[in-house]
Amino acid sequence: MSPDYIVTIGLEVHVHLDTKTKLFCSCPNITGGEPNTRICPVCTGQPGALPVFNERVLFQAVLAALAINCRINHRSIFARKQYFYPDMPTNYQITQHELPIAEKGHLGGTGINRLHIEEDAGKLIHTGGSSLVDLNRASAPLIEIVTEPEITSPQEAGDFLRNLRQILRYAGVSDCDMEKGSMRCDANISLRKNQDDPLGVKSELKNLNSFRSVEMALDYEILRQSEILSSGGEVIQETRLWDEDSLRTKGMRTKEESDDYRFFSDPDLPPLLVGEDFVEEVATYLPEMPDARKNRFVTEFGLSEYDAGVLTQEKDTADYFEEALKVCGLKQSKMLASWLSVEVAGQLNALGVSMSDNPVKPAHLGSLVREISQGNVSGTMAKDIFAEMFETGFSPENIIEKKGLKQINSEDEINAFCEKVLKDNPDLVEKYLDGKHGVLGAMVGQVMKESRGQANPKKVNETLRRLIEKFQ
Amino acid sequence: MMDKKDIERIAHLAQLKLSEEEKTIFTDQLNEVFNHINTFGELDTVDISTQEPTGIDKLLPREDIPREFSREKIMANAPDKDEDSFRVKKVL
Ligand SMILES: [Zn+2]
Repeated sequence: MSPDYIVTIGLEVHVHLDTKTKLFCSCPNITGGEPNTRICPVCTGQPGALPVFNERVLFQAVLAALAINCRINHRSIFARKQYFYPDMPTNYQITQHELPIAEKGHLGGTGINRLHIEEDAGKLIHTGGSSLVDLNRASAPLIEIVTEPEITSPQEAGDFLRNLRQILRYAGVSDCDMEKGSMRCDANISLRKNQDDPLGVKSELKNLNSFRSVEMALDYEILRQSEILSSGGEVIQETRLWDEDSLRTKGMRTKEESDDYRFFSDPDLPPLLVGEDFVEEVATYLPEMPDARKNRFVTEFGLSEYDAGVLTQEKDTADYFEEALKVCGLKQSKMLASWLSVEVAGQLNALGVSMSDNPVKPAHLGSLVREISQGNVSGTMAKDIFAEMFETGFSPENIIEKKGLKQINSEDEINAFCEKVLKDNPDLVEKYLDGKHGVLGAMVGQVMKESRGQANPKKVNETLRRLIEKFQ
Repeated sequence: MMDKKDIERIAHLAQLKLSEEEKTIFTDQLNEVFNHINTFGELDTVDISTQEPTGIDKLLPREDIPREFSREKIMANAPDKDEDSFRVKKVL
């Protein structure tokens, strides 16, 4: 991109933790919905209300920290970050400043500086003459993950975020949905000429609503900063907003002293102590991570790298696959992979349904694949059966039984169908005997019609040939 | 000692508009408070951590069980509101 300058990027990622209640009060922790339906004296900052820490947040934060290889601090401190804005009724955000819950991790080659717990702010809706405040999100639990400033390209930043998202989703920490705001990212970027130079002046990019916009905003910023630097100018340290419409970053009016947060430890919250035994217990909840699982899908199940990658992209899909494989057996792993990644994923995508809401139970898909592999149902029948499974949630056995769809393999039955068709179509038989063997296809079609698609086509083909030979 | 400039800075951060007279009053009052706090300086605090200000040595967490609170009760205290939101002076 810019061969003249060395690019240095650091990311700050906020992740909304999946818990039942908020960080410091018992209000339900759910996003969206009617404004101000999940508020109480604590999260609206009523005088005298005191924060009470949610133990589930500790579990989720430690799990996230272990997933990105951080060291857990056995003692961490909550601090008040003072600022005045109506989205925060207490006039301070409770966060961790000097002593975060975790430090010094790494993910895929990128160092993690720290991970800390903090509360979210409310939401403002700006109307004509006033602003409306919705505090449903106020005090919702977040973790902030700060990388070391050592990412060297926009692409690398995007890869890091995609990797982080996948891992945190695997761990069940959060759904990490950037569009819904359950994962948010700010990026710091600076340029310098030589490796030995100190880091250049950075700009902080905000309003990045997708991985794509993170990459595009960084690309733009490299261009903007290198133009300034190569024309002899100086980059000023500022916050810049990514504008999705003009595909540019725009400087925000820098409020003087606006980042004077006057942190001090929150007198309402004693230190958060975490024992080694607790950390060890949480570690047992870490699932097999995506890369390891992908490799196992290749070596254990004989899948291609590509299929294994697709199936392990999401934990729910990988779990589903393994559950179904128990029913159809290891030998059918490739057929199962294809059914899951083509038919099932196709239907789910078309309806915008996630794997966890898949109406087809894994054991049912497994038995459908088993029926196919045993020759009990043909490929076309299987698709009809699957459509019915997807609609009703019934097992394939149930549907086959009810519809009488089982494939006909019995020689007597197939013989009977074939004899009838030969008797009804003497013209076709004559053509065949004249050497026009192409008409066999038409006869097979007739038999399939007579048997309502249930006769085994391969056997029909053989039987027809055998019977016609007798006419000669 | 706080001076007028400190007061102006704090007022700016708190988004307060103070008259010249108020600035003088608050400068005096805050200095009085700080002088009082300075008497703590005479105490021996060598072994006391600044990060454990509560006297309670560890956080006692609560279980993650949701409870609903009446929105009406909270909204009743709001100086200005529409049917489901707090209303404040327009901010950007
Ligand atoms: Zn609350």
